[in-house]
Amino acid sequence: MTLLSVRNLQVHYTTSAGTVRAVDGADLEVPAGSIVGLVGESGCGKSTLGRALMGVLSGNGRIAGGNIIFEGRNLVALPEHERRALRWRRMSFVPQTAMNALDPVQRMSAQLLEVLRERGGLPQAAARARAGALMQLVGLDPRRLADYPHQFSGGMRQRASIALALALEPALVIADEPVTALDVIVQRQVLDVLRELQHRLKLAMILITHDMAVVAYACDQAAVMYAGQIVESGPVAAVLEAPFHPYTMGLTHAFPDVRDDEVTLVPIEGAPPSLLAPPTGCRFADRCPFAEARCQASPPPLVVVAPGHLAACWRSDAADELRALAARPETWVP
Amino acid sequence: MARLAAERLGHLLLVLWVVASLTFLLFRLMPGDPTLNFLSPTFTDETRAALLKGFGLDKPLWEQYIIYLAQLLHGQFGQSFLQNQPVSQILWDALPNTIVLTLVSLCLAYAFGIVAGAFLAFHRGRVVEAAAIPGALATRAAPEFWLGMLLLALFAFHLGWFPTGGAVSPGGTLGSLGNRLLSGDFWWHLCLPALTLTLFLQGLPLLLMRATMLEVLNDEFIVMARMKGLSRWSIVMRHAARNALLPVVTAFALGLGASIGGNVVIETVFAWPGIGRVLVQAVQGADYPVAQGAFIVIAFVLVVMNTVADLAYAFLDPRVSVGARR
Amino acid sequence: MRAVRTVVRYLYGEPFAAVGVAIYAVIVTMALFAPLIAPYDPRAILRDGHRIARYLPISAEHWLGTTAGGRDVLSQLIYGARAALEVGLTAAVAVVAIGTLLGLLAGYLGGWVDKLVTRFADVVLGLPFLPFMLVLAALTTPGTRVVIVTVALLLWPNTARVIRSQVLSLRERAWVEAARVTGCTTGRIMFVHVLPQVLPLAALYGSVAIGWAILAEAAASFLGFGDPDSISWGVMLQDAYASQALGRGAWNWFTPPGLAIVLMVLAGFLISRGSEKLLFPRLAES
Repeated sequence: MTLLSVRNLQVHYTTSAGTVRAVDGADLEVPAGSIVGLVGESGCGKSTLGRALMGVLSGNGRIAGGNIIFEGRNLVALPEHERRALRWRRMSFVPQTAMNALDPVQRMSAQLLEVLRERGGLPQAAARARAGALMQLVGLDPRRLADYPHQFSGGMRQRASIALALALEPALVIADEPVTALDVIVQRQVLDVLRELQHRLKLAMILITHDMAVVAYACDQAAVMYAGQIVESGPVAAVLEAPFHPYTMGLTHAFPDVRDDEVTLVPIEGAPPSLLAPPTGCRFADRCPFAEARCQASPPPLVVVAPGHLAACWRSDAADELRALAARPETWVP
Repeated sequence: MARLAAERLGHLLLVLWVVASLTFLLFRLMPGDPTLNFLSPTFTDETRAALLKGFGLDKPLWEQYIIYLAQLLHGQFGQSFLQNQPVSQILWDALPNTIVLTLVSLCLAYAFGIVAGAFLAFHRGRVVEAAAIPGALATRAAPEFWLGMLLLALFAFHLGWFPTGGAVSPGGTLGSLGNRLLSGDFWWHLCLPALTLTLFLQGLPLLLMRATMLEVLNDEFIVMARMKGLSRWSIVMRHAARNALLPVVTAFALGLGASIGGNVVIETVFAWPGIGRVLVQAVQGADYPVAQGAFIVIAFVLVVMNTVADLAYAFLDPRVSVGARR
Repeated sequence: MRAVRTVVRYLYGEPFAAVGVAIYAVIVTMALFAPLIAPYDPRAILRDGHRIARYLPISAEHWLGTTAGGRDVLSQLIYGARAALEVGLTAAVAVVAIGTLLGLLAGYLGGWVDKLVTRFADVVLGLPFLPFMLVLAALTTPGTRVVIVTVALLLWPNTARVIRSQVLSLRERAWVEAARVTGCTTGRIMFVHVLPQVLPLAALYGSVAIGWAILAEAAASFLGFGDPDSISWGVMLQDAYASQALGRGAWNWFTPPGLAIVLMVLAGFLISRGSEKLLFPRLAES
């Protein structure tokens, strides 16, 4: 059953230089109870997508088109007060840097209680009990509720943020680069906590990251985002081992895997297109080693290429060939 | 923190001393017979003799200066030329009136300014902003006494709702401070001058609050608060306002100091018997001892409030106080 | 030429500033062409038949009516622009000159010079403006000179503070280092290299200073310490007040001069970007 269905979402930012089309026609599906890894490089729009789902964009941003169907309702069409009612209760958020996101002058207990009482309607005693339970859930000592955020270590702060996000038992948790700022060992620990909780509480999760390894480790589904659009999505094994989109192929060859002894780091040369004036054809065409004339001419649609697996590439029927080529470093040298 | 306070206090004393000395020089070095600044030809011989001795007016300048400082510390400013009483008495009588006027107006102005500023920050980019900002700037750009004149013409002369000046109705007398505060007549007379001053002063806290709120509202934990679905009210009051209020509190302290002196014109328009009006009348009537005394008192309040503002900021800013605690 | 283009581009992006410049343009026009624009001599006592034309209401002959003394309000208003600009510009130039010089010295030379200037500024900030002006007027002679002197003496600290900050950051720039290394004297660096960089900021403060100066002149005039022979908006208001115009409801007389002052001071605020920072620079710094 699909919990969240994003169709052709467009999010624009108004700037003095013009309108930045940060998300320009993105499609995404999140089945209930699954972890979807939303992966892409900086500036591809993944964080904006996450915030658009929550409905909290910065001042100059707005949803310019598309639909977000969540639990059967189109969030884009909802009036603000109904949107607010959903926030945190049905859909919550784990931010990138907990240090900035947690109120520095409030103790953890106050921050948890605020959400539990004001949004959860729990009376004081019940709220306190639940706060303690939440801390234990994420592997933190409940006695640390009395501390301020700056008294926690990085990993503990992230766990505290997760506890906060789970407070009202939402159906979907959006985590924006939750482990990026942590070292590798702690990354594993926090990801384990996330996976365990997701499994136990039967939540759905969107894990936004730029790190393929995180997606490989923690997610069921993967969605690859490029220049404001989803270019490939599907079960994580399929997307990582048998990608259909050249960008995904490049990504899976650009990261070191701790398990391999030898690894060749092959970056994708070039940079994503400007989102002020996006190109007319496929957005990856300029950097794609397999681009043809039709790729520059018109944008490829996101279509089914295998069961449960979608990709947006004009040459997806030749995917096996392209994959073989992509595995060779010289393909990526322009 | 204690070290900062000590430093500031030392600074305060230094400035007070310089201001007192400047006033001394100002009044002494003016062309003409300096003793004319203290002795009126109308004084009796006894009074002249007493003042001559008390202020050492027959001694060299630097001795006079020492005596002057000593007298200041005792609250002695000399004798008024025009009114048959010591200057300190006149000042002591008038100062509370100014303080009441200033405090009432500042509190009203800041209460309004803070709420309106926060409101504007929240409704960024709406039409109301385009009108409100120039409006607030305009009140700041207007001469206070002109605002007073307008209000006086409308509410006192035209509509007759308020008295046209003074602090008491004809025939009444101003009692002690306690009596004044309890007197409905006093407050009724206070209305228009306070309203004028409030109107004039509110622009600053309004613009300031708006500016700081806009900054704070972009802080990440505010974004998180919105994500948590907390009500606007909760976000503004509990999270944003606490941070945004800091500069406003400092401005309040500074404003208190500045207003005491700036009330000169308001008090003149409304014939409000405060220390500003005392100064104006003293200057107009060449009552030098009173002028000197009033000036010193006004300057002192200003300097003290500047220091209070500095200390308040240091105390309230958690970056300073928490840092010190750790 | 480039400077003009920069200014025009700035104005285009800032509608508020453009309004401010427009207001100044109107006032300057009024001042320059007063004899041509004003319908009457502002000092002439006019007659309505045999009697003096006192307190005439708004009419076709007198767009803003007449004063208690039978003078045309509109003409006074127009000529008032001259006094406003004279006082405003002179005082603003003085304040900016002193403030910039001291800020430059304090910022560039640092050390005891900086400490001295800062302490000096603190003392000056401890002197209440209007009372000081009154006392000065009483001890010397009332008039616009006292207003200008007071503004120059008491309002420079804010400008100096900001200039000092800017100079402090400019001092670390590579080209200053280069100038030092090539043997430029300190004085030369300060006045030939650094000073031009801070002038735009100084000019911004100047536009606000004009406003403060006009408000000061108005207050001085109102309190009877202005120049009674001049035609200024402050004197007009003082005249109205003293003639009991409030009681007579002569709105046509006492409203326009005040509005003129508001507009002129407002223009100064609008032109200076980030008006909040200028209104209370002490706080902006902390």
